Amino acid sequence: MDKAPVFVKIEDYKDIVDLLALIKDRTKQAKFLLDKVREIKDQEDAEISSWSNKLEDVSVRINEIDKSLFEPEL
Amino acid sequence: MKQSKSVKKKVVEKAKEPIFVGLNNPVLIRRDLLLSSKDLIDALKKQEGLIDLRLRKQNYLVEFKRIADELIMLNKKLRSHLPKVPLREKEVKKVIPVRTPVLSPEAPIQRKSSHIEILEKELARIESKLDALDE
Repeated sequence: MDKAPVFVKIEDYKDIVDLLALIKDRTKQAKFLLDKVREIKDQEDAEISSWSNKLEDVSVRINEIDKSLFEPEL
Repeated sequence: MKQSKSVKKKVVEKAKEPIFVGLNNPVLIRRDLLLSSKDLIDALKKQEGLIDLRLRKQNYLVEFKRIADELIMLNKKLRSHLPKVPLREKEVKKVIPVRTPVLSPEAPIQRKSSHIEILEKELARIESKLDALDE
């Protein structure tokens, strides 16, 4: 029973081939879109990392200023 | 009496005089402040760019969802064209998915959960068919 051959009606066959082509095309499109999303996500991550570095720089500078103001020259 | 008044006046005048505190390295402080401002403005400028990036990502995701829905529909259509082979029904083992409460506004939950329910039903149907094939 499991190994019994299965046949597809000839009128369905063309539809199936067309559908498979369409599915392949849509899968390709979906892959392209996901690649784009990944690309943007990488750019976002790079941007956030750059912000983090800048914020660290600002924090260091503000600490320097704070130190200078609390240890004034008399 | 007159003397005490003039002393008081002198004290008040002295109190009004500004007191200056010397800075060790004023140029460095000024430079640090300017650089900090520059960095923060730069970050704000980049934030505008990030909003644009997120908008683009959102558009790509909307398009991706549309294609995924279309793929589901095409897949169903394909299955309908293929011959229906009788499968031995496996003993029914109903797996009830555990739902965790989501804390967000009510309307989106209902819309999302109904969509999720449809997808879960579809998944369960496919899994049962796969199980029947494996047997």
